[in-house]
Amino acid sequence: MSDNTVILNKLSQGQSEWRDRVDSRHKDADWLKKSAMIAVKVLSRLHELGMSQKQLAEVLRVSPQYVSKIVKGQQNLTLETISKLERILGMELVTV
Amino acid sequence: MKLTTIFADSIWSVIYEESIDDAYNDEFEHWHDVEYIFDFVISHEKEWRLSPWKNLSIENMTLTVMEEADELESRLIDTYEYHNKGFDKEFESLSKNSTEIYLMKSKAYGKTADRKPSLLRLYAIRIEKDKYVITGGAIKLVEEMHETEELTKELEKMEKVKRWLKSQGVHISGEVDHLIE
Repeated sequence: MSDNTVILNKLSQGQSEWRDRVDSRHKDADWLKKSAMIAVKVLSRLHELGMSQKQLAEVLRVSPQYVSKIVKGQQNLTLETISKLERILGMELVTV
Repeated sequence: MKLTTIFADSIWSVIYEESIDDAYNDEFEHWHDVEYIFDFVISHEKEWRLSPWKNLSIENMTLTVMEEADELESRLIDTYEYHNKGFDKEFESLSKNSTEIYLMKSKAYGKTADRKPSLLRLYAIRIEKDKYVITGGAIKLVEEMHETEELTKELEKMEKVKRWLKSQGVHISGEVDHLIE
């Protein structure tokens, strides 16, 4: 092991938790991709309408935190929520 | 400033004083956060419309960033786990004309060199052969780093980390003679 490696290992606080996050992303990859595609559509539509996430949360009757997870593409959405979003935003989010 | 280990004895990442997460995790979290990417692209619309990605929709831009992030992450994991190539194959000098040989400012691309242009950059300081300290990253829509505030900040971060590493005793390794040749 080189001197520099020894120095850097001493400066390190330990192993980063990045691998857990990667494993989690891989495990949920299928629905995360669909969630991301819905999130982009929702954000684009909100942008077009000039509607805030807070307003969307009020109309959906959910918390702003829940809407935040939707637009980050990190929410495993139910068909009920998708249908509500489609009605409120006046657009199709998922085609069957 | 502190460090955390990403790939044992090869890649470390900086934890800045003002941050909870380390630089590596921060970037990959941003690059998987649809809202972050969307807001970034919209707030850099001028640069986007002059970039090689000008004809992509905002939806495709967002998904492209996420796909490049996955690609880069997979390549780094493969490099470490299978040892088929060193990290020097993934990172290159920040500037083609750089004369730095000690603690060289470096970058890795979202896409491999043969498939450029690439939207993503992961920035790092090269310590010695196949060893790097990650300092940050960016969605890069412009040619030169000084063209945007965010990229200028990335340059400043690299300089700051470089000074800190020197102050901690990180020094020129024996490989430098070989590099000069």
